[in-house]
Amino acid sequence: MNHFLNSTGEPVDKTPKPEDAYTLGPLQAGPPCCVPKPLIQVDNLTLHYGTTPALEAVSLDIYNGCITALIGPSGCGKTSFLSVLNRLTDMIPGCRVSGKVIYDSKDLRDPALDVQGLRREIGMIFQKPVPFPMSIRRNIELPLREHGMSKPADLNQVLEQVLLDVGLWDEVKDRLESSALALSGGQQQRLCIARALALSPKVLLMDEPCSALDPISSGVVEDLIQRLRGKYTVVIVTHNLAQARRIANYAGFFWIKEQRAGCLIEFGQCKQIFEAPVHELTAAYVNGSRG
Amino acid sequence: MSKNNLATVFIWLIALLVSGVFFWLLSDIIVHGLAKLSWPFLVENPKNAGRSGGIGPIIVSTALILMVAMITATPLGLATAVLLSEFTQQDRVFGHLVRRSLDVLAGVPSIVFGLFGNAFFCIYLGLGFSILSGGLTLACMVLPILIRTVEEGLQATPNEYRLAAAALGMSRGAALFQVLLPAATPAIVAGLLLGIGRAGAETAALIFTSGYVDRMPGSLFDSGRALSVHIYDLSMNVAGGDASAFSSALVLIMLLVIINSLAMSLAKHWQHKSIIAL
Repeated sequence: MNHFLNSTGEPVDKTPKPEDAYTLGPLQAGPPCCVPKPLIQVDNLTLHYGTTPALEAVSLDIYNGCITALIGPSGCGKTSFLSVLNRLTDMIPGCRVSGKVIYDSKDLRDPALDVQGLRREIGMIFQKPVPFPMSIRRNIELPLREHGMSKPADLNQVLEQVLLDVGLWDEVKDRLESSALALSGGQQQRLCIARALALSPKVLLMDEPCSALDPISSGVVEDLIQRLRGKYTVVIVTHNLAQARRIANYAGFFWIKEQRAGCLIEFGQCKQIFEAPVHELTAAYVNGSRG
Repeated sequence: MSKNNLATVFIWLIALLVSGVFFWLLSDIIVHGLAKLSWPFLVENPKNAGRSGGIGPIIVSTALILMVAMITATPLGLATAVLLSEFTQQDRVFGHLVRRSLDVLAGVPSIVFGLFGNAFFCIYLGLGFSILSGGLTLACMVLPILIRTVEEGLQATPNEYRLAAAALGMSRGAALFQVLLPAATPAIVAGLLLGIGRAGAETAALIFTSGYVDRMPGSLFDSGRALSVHIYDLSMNVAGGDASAFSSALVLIMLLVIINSLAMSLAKHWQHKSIIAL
């Protein structure tokens, strides 16, 4: 169930229609998501930092194997929304979350939930690439070792596989022992994606993964995200509307209300959001006349 | 001359003045100290209150005192720094209180530490005038500097590392030991070096705790004379001891230089090998 406000402010229930089947990229994995099956269900999510509201009554479904883009102006709570999904909100003092978030029939907000296991399944990529200050190999192996993989043969296999997946293998195979910090921004970001993929997650949360990169690196990372479709469920926050339009199956439009709290204005198929938005704010935003 | 040029000249003059004073000091010690410096001087016992003979036992005592101090201070200091930086919130009363106390402690004159060490380690704990008392007193002195330096090093590591580690499902402990502490290695080394420097140069605190005895120490419970105490004694109390004092000072400086470069290269090697390949 999805609740949205229409242009007159009335809540409307609008579960998106199935989307057309699409062809997969070279990664060639996973079933096409032409029948939307919710993997994460967010219902009436509200988030406060201290007493300041950051998100108000957000309800949406994240569909399995699809790319969901979250668009909207800065400060409207898109990043906060992402951090709820892998419980990074736990690390922010004074952050209060209410509402219902169901992932894989588990309550994501359950205090007894195995958060480390959850974060292994729901990985996150940040705006600024964050390779650890260590060798390329150790960057990938460290989280794997943390989760109990220790045989060098296994580690090597995963290392090569994920680096191949992100198209970095040919570029770095001869310098796996050198520092990850010496890589270019785009390579660093792909390394971070590889590091997240190494844990074989189900969901990848991406917080403006291309915005700190030059256009060419950005294009390479975008291609990579395209190829993740089907095998992984991707939620991506982006300020690049063209990018959202190119890669996303579904899109959610966030806006800031008068009380400084972000809220979801409209959610639906990417095509519909960009070509036939229901809400006038969405129309103004995607046409560039506002925001 | 424009204002800019004037400022440049002024800044250069000050820099020259500061480094000039340092080189004057250093060359003075080298010129006067080299005269008596020899292998026998380094290994023999002092004779005639240090006027002749060597400084063998004194070097051993100094090394033992420094060792006790750093072995005690390093784990305590690292643990406290980690507690302050990672496990207390910046604006909470507890952290604020501890930090403020440490800053005050760092500025307390060493003679006060000496008196405290004498009262607590020598008398209350019954350790007497011993290398152990001296080393522990120095550990108390070094702790505030060590803690604050390491804490600042940890604080300076990007918060993104913590978030990224958490997002990869790593525990806080793993993030700390695998990512944050290695990234803060330069700060840890700097803190240790500052601590060793302060401990090695300390005189006042040691006179009351590790004592004066210039014989070769048999154990940590024996009194032992540190190099700095020896220099102080030779230059203040022993007529005709200046030559030995200069040589001892040269040895002390060389010792600190050796420790510094050793620590630097060890840290570099360690970082390069397993943790941070830069």
